[in-house]
Amino acid sequence: MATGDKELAMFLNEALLVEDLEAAVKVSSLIERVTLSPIEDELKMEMLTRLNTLLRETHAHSLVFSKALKEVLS
Amino acid sequence: MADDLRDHLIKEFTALKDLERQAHDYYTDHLDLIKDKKLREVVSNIADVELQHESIAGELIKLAESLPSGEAKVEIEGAGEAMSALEEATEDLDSPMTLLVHTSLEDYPRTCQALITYFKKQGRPIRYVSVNKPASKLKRILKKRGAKVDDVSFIDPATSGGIMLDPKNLTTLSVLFTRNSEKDMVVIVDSLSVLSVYHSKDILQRFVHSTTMGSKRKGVDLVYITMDAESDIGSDPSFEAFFDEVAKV
Repeated sequence: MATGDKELAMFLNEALLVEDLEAAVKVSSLIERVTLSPIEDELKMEMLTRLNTLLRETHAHSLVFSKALKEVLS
Repeated sequence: MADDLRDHLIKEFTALKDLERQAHDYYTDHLDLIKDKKLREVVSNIADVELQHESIAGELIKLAESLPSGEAKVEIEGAGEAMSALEEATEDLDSPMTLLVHTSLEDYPRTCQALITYFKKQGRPIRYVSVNKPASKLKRILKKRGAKVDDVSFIDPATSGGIMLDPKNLTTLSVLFTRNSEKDMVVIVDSLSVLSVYHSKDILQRFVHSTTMGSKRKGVDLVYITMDAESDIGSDPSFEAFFDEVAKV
Protein backbone atom coordinates (compact mmCIF):
# COMPACT_ATOMS: atom_id res chain seq x y z
CA MET A 1 0.00 0.00 0.00
CA ALA A 2 1.35 3.45 -0.91
CA THR A 3 2.26 5.85 1.92
CA GLY A 4 -0.55 8.20 0.92
CA ASP A 5 -3.09 5.40 1.13
CA LYS A 6 -1.75 4.29 4.52
CA GLU A 7 -2.13 7.80 5.89
CA LEU A 8 -5.61 8.06 4.42
CA ALA A 9 -6.55 4.68 5.92
CA MET A 10 -5.28 5.82 9.33
CA PHE A 11 -7.26 9.04 9.07
CA LEU A 12 -10.45 7.22 8.04
CA ASN A 13 -10.00 4.70 10.84
CA GLU A 14 -9.53 7.50 13.37
CA ALA A 15 -12.58 9.32 11.99
CA LEU A 16 -14.58 6.12 12.34
CA LEU A 17 -13.50 5.83 15.98
CA VAL A 18 -14.45 9.46 16.61
CA GLU A 19 -17.94 8.88 15.21
CA ASP A 20 -18.56 5.38 16.57
CA LEU A 21 -16.77 5.29 19.89
CA GLU A 22 -16.85 8.88 21.01
CA ALA A 23 -19.76 10.79 19.50
CA ALA A 24 -22.29 7.95 19.20
CA VAL A 25 -21.54 6.56 22.67
CA LYS A 26 -21.77 10.00 24.27
CA VAL A 27 -24.99 10.94 22.49
CA SER A 28 -26.58 7.55 23.26
CA SER A 29 -25.77 7.84 26.95
CA LEU A 30 -27.18 11.37 26.96
CA ILE A 31 -30.40 10.16 25.33
CA GLU A 32 -30.73 7.55 28.09
CA ARG A 33 -29.93 10.08 30.80
CA VAL A 34 -32.41 12.67 29.51
CA THR A 35 -35.11 10.04 28.96
CA LEU A 36 -34.84 8.77 32.53
CA SER A 37 -34.50 12.16 34.18
CA PRO A 38 -37.37 14.02 35.83
CA ILE A 39 -37.48 16.77 33.18
CA GLU A 40 -40.69 18.49 32.14
CA ASP A 41 -42.09 16.77 29.00
CA GLU A 42 -41.79 19.67 26.54
CA LEU A 43 -38.20 20.42 27.51
CA LYS A 44 -37.35 16.73 27.41
CA MET A 45 -38.75 16.47 23.87
CA GLU A 46 -36.71 19.50 22.79
CA MET A 47 -33.56 17.84 24.09
CA LEU A 48 -34.34 14.40 22.69
CA THR A 49 -35.18 15.78 19.24
CA ARG A 50 -31.75 17.40 19.03
CA LEU A 51 -29.94 14.40 20.43
CA ASN A 52 -31.69 12.10 17.97
CA THR A 53 -30.60 14.33 15.08
CA LEU A 54 -27.02 14.12 16.32
CA LEU A 55 -27.21 10.35 16.67
CA ARG A 56 -28.74 9.83 13.22
CA GLU A 57 -26.15 12.04 11.50
CA THR A 58 -23.28 10.58 13.49
CA HIS A 59 -24.35 7.15 12.32
CA ALA A 60 -24.50 8.38 8.72
CA HIS A 61 -20.96 9.79 9.02
CA SER A 62 -19.78 6.52 10.46
CA LEU A 63 -21.16 4.64 7.44
CA VAL A 64 -19.38 7.02 5.05
CA PHE A 65 -16.02 6.58 6.79
CA SER A 66 -16.49 2.83 7.06
CA LYS A 67 -17.26 2.49 3.34
CA ALA A 68 -14.33 4.74 2.38
CA LEU A 69 -11.97 2.78 4.63
CA LYS A 70 -13.05 -0.50 3.05
CA GLU A 71 -12.37 0.91 -0.41
CA VAL A 72 -8.91 2.14 0.57
CA LEU A 73 -8.04 -1.19 2.14
CA SER A 74 -9.35 -3.30 -0.77
CA MET B 1 -35.13 19.17 39.46
CA ALA B 2 -31.81 18.22 40.92
CA ASP B 3 -29.20 20.92 40.75
CA ASP B 4 -26.73 18.15 40.03
CA LEU B 5 -28.82 16.95 37.06
CA ARG B 6 -28.78 20.47 35.61
CA ASP B 7 -25.03 20.78 36.22
CA HIS B 8 -24.40 17.29 34.93
CA LEU B 9 -26.26 17.93 31.66
CA ILE B 10 -24.57 21.29 31.13
CA LYS B 11 -21.20 19.61 31.65
CA GLU B 12 -22.01 16.71 29.33
CA PHE B 13 -23.47 18.93 26.58
CA THR B 14 -20.40 21.17 26.81
CA ALA B 15 -18.15 18.12 26.40
CA LEU B 16 -20.27 17.11 23.39
CA LYS B 17 -19.91 20.61 21.91
CA ASP B 18 -16.12 20.38 22.30
CA LEU B 19 -16.11 16.95 20.70
CA GLU B 20 -18.03 18.19 17.66
CA ARG B 21 -15.61 21.11 17.24
CA GLN B 22 -12.61 18.77 17.56
CA ALA B 23 -14.12 16.45 14.94
CA HIS B 24 -14.59 19.40 12.56
CA ASP B 25 -10.98 20.53 13.08
CA TYR B 26 -9.62 17.01 12.68
CA TYR B 27 -11.49 16.36 9.43
CA THR B 28 -10.60 19.79 8.01
CA ASP B 29 -6.91 19.39 8.91
CA HIS B 30 -6.74 16.09 7.02
CA LEU B 31 -8.62 17.04 3.86
CA ASP B 32 -5.30 17.31 1.96
CA LEU B 33 -4.70 13.61 2.49
CA ILE B 34 -7.72 12.79 0.34
CA LYS B 35 -6.79 12.76 -3.31
CA ASP B 36 -10.16 11.47 -4.48
CA LYS B 37 -12.13 14.62 -5.27
CA LYS B 38 -15.52 13.11 -4.55
CA LEU B 39 -14.46 11.68 -1.17
CA ARG B 40 -12.78 14.98 -0.24
CA GLU B 41 -16.04 16.78 -0.93
CA VAL B 42 -17.98 14.27 1.18
CA VAL B 43 -15.56 14.62 4.12
CA SER B 44 -15.60 18.39 3.74
CA ASN B 45 -19.41 18.29 4.00
CA ILE B 46 -19.15 16.09 7.09
CA ALA B 47 -16.78 18.64 8.63
CA ASP B 48 -19.41 21.34 7.98
CA VAL B 49 -22.09 19.18 9.57
CA GLU B 50 -19.87 18.87 12.68
CA LEU B 51 -20.12 22.66 13.00
CA GLN B 52 -23.92 22.35 12.87
CA HIS B 53 -23.62 19.67 15.57
CA GLU B 54 -21.55 22.06 17.65
CA SER B 55 -24.34 24.57 17.29
CA ILE B 56 -26.97 21.97 18.29
CA ALA B 57 -24.89 21.10 21.35
CA GLY B 58 -24.89 24.82 22.17
CA GLU B 59 -28.71 24.79 22.02
CA LEU B 60 -28.72 21.76 24.33
CA ILE B 61 -26.58 23.66 26.84
CA LYS B 62 -29.10 26.53 26.75
CA LEU B 63 -31.97 24.07 27.26
CA ALA B 64 -30.15 22.50 30.22
CA GLU B 65 -29.54 25.95 31.68
CA SER B 66 -33.28 26.57 31.57
CA LEU B 67 -33.93 23.59 33.83
CA PRO B 68 -35.51 24.72 37.08
CA SER B 69 -33.54 23.92 40.21
CA GLY B 70 -34.48 22.79 43.69
CA GLU B 71 -37.24 20.27 42.89
CA ALA B 72 -35.23 17.19 43.81
CA LYS B 73 -34.14 18.80 47.04
CA VAL B 74 -37.79 18.89 48.01
CA GLU B 75 -38.05 15.18 47.18
CA ILE B 76 -35.03 14.40 49.30
CA GLU B 77 -36.43 16.52 52.07
CA GLY B 78 -39.55 14.39 51.70
CA ALA B 79 -37.36 11.44 52.63
CA GLY B 80 -35.75 13.41 55.43
CA GLU B 81 -37.90 11.88 58.15
CA ALA B 82 -37.15 8.41 56.89
CA MET B 83 -33.44 9.24 56.85
CA SER B 84 -33.64 10.43 60.45
CA ALA B 85 -35.41 7.23 61.48
CA LEU B 86 -32.68 5.17 59.82
CA GLU B 87 -29.96 7.22 61.45
CA GLU B 88 -31.57 6.80 64.84
CA ALA B 89 -31.97 3.05 64.37
CA THR B 90 -28.40 2.43 63.23
CA GLU B 91 -26.41 4.95 65.27
CA ASP B 92 -25.34 2.42 67.93
CA LEU B 93 -24.86 -0.49 65.55
CA ASP B 94 -21.53 -1.74 64.29
CA SER B 95 -21.14 -3.45 60.94
CA PRO B 96 -22.10 -6.13 60.08
CA MET B 97 -25.59 -5.32 61.27
CA THR B 98 -29.11 -6.42 60.41
CA LEU B 99 -32.03 -4.05 60.20
CA LEU B 100 -35.75 -4.50 59.66
CA VAL B 101 -37.44 -1.46 58.16
CA HIS B 102 -41.18 -1.18 58.59
CA THR B 103 -42.92 1.12 56.17
CA SER B 104 -46.38 1.68 54.74
CA LEU B 105 -47.50 1.25 51.14
CA GLU B 106 -47.85 5.02 50.91
CA ASP B 107 -44.32 5.69 52.19
CA TYR B 108 -42.70 2.77 50.39
CA PRO B 109 -41.02 4.74 47.51
CA ARG B 110 -39.76 7.32 49.98
CA THR B 111 -38.36 4.57 52.19
CA CYS B 112 -36.48 2.92 49.30
CA GLN B 113 -35.10 6.30 48.31
CA ALA B 114 -34.08 7.07 51.90
CA LEU B 115 -32.32 3.71 52.33
CA ILE B 116 -30.26 4.14 49.16
CA THR B 117 -29.44 7.78 49.89
CA TYR B 118 -28.56 7.01 53.52
CA PHE B 119 -26.08 4.24 52.74
CA LYS B 120 -24.67 6.01 49.68
CA LYS B 121 -23.86 8.98 51.87
CA GLN B 122 -21.71 6.61 53.90
CA GLY B 123 -19.92 5.56 50.71
CA ARG B 124 -21.18 1.98 51.03
CA PRO B 125 -21.61 -0.32 48.01
CA ILE B 126 -25.28 -1.27 47.76
CA ARG B 127 -26.94 -4.40 46.42
CA TYR B 128 -30.70 -4.02 46.01
CA VAL B 129 -32.59 -7.30 45.78
CA SER B 130 -36.06 -6.85 44.36
CA VAL B 131 -38.24 -9.92 44.61
CA ASN B 132 -41.03 -8.78 42.34
CA LYS B 133 -40.12 -5.61 40.44
CA PRO B 134 -37.80 -5.29 37.42
CA ALA B 135 -34.67 -3.24 38.09
CA SER B 136 -35.49 -0.88 35.22
CA LYS B 137 -38.79 0.08 36.81
CA LEU B 138 -37.24 0.50 40.25
CA LYS B 139 -34.45 2.65 38.87
CA ARG B 140 -36.97 4.84 37.09
CA ILE B 141 -39.03 5.34 40.25
CA LEU B 142 -35.97 6.07 42.37
CA LYS B 143 -34.35 8.37 39.83
CA LYS B 144 -37.58 10.35 39.54
CA ARG B 145 -37.39 10.87 43.26
CA GLY B 146 -33.83 12.19 42.95
CA ALA B 147 -32.01 9.11 44.29
CA LYS B 148 -28.64 8.36 42.70
CA VAL B 149 -28.79 4.74 41.65
CA ASP B 150 -26.19 4.50 38.88
CA ASP B 151 -23.73 2.49 40.96
CA VAL B 152 -26.32 0.49 42.90
CA SER B 153 -26.27 -3.18 41.95
CA PHE B 154 -29.82 -4.35 41.35
CA ILE B 155 -30.85 -7.98 41.44
CA ASP B 156 -34.31 -8.49 40.09
CA PRO B 157 -36.42 -11.36 38.72
CA ALA B 158 -34.88 -10.91 35.25
CA THR B 159 -31.24 -9.96 35.84
CA SER B 160 -29.90 -12.20 38.56
CA GLY B 161 -26.81 -13.32 36.70
CA GLY B 162 -28.47 -16.03 34.68
CA ILE B 163 -30.41 -17.42 37.62
CA MET B 164 -34.13 -16.78 37.70
CA LEU B 165 -34.94 -14.93 40.88
CA ASP B 166 -37.86 -16.96 42.05
CA PRO B 167 -39.42 -15.83 45.34
CA LYS B 168 -40.49 -19.43 45.91
CA ASN B 169 -36.89 -20.65 45.83
CA LEU B 170 -35.47 -19.42 49.10
CA THR B 171 -32.17 -21.28 48.78
CA THR B 172 -31.26 -19.50 45.54
CA LEU B 173 -32.45 -16.22 47.00
CA SER B 174 -30.25 -16.51 50.05
CA VAL B 175 -27.22 -17.25 47.87
CA LEU B 176 -27.89 -14.20 45.69
CA PHE B 177 -28.08 -11.91 48.71
CA THR B 178 -24.40 -12.24 49.48
CA ARG B 179 -22.86 -13.85 46.37
CA ASN B 180 -19.55 -12.17 45.46
CA SER B 181 -20.24 -9.59 48.13
CA GLU B 182 -17.84 -6.69 48.51
CA LYS B 183 -16.41 -5.45 51.78
CA ASP B 184 -18.76 -3.05 53.61
CA MET B 185 -21.62 -3.95 51.28
CA VAL B 186 -25.21 -3.25 52.26
CA VAL B 187 -27.83 -5.65 50.92
CA ILE B 188 -31.38 -4.29 50.82
CA VAL B 189 -34.10 -6.92 50.43
CA ASP B 190 -37.35 -5.65 48.96
CA SER B 191 -39.37 -7.10 50.57
CA LEU B 192 -40.33 -9.46 53.35
CA SER B 193 -43.98 -8.69 52.55
CA VAL B 194 -43.66 -10.07 49.03
CA LEU B 195 -41.91 -13.21 50.28
CA SER B 196 -44.71 -13.72 52.78
CA VAL B 197 -47.12 -14.16 49.88
CA TYR B 198 -45.27 -17.33 48.90
CA HIS B 199 -44.27 -18.83 52.26
CA SER B 200 -45.69 -19.66 55.64
CA LYS B 201 -44.63 -17.72 58.70
CA ASP B 202 -42.50 -20.60 60.05
CA ILE B 203 -40.57 -21.07 56.82
CA LEU B 204 -40.07 -17.35 56.44
CA GLN B 205 -38.81 -17.01 60.00
CA ARG B 206 -36.24 -19.76 59.40
CA PHE B 207 -35.21 -18.06 56.16
CA VAL B 208 -34.81 -14.65 57.79
CA HIS B 209 -32.82 -16.15 60.64
CA SER B 210 -30.57 -18.02 58.24
CA THR B 211 -29.90 -14.97 56.03
CA THR B 212 -29.25 -12.61 58.93
CA MET B 213 -26.73 -15.06 60.35
CA GLY B 214 -25.23 -15.64 56.90
CA SER B 215 -24.79 -11.93 56.24
CA LYS B 216 -22.98 -11.49 59.56
CA ARG B 217 -20.58 -14.28 58.65
CA LYS B 218 -19.89 -12.57 55.32
CA GLY B 219 -19.46 -9.15 56.94
CA VAL B 220 -22.41 -7.70 55.01
CA ASP B 221 -25.09 -5.39 56.41
CA LEU B 222 -28.53 -6.79 55.67
CA VAL B 223 -31.67 -4.68 55.54
CA TYR B 224 -35.14 -6.11 55.04
CA ILE B 225 -38.03 -3.86 54.04
CA THR B 226 -41.48 -4.87 55.15
CA MET B 227 -44.79 -3.16 54.55
CA ASP B 228 -47.15 -2.94 57.45
CA ALA B 229 -50.55 -4.43 56.82
CA GLU B 230 -52.77 -6.39 59.13
CA SER B 231 -52.98 -9.29 56.71
CA ASP B 232 -49.24 -9.35 56.04
CA ILE B 233 -47.17 -12.07 57.72
CA GLY B 234 -44.08 -9.94 57.06
CA SER B 235 -45.30 -7.27 59.45
CA ASP B 236 -45.67 -9.79 62.29
CA PRO B 237 -43.68 -8.51 65.32
CA SER B 238 -42.12 -11.93 65.83
CA PHE B 239 -39.72 -11.19 62.94
CA GLU B 240 -38.19 -8.31 64.83
CA ALA B 241 -36.32 -10.73 67.12
CA PHE B 242 -34.06 -11.77 64.24
CA PHE B 243 -32.72 -8.27 63.65
CA ASP B 244 -30.25 -6.09 65.53
CA GLU B 245 -32.57 -3.15 65.18
CA VAL B 246 -35.97 -2.19 63.84
CA ALA B 247 -36.75 1.13 62.15
CA LYS B 248 -40.27 2.41 61.57
CA VAL B 249 -40.24 4.93 58.74
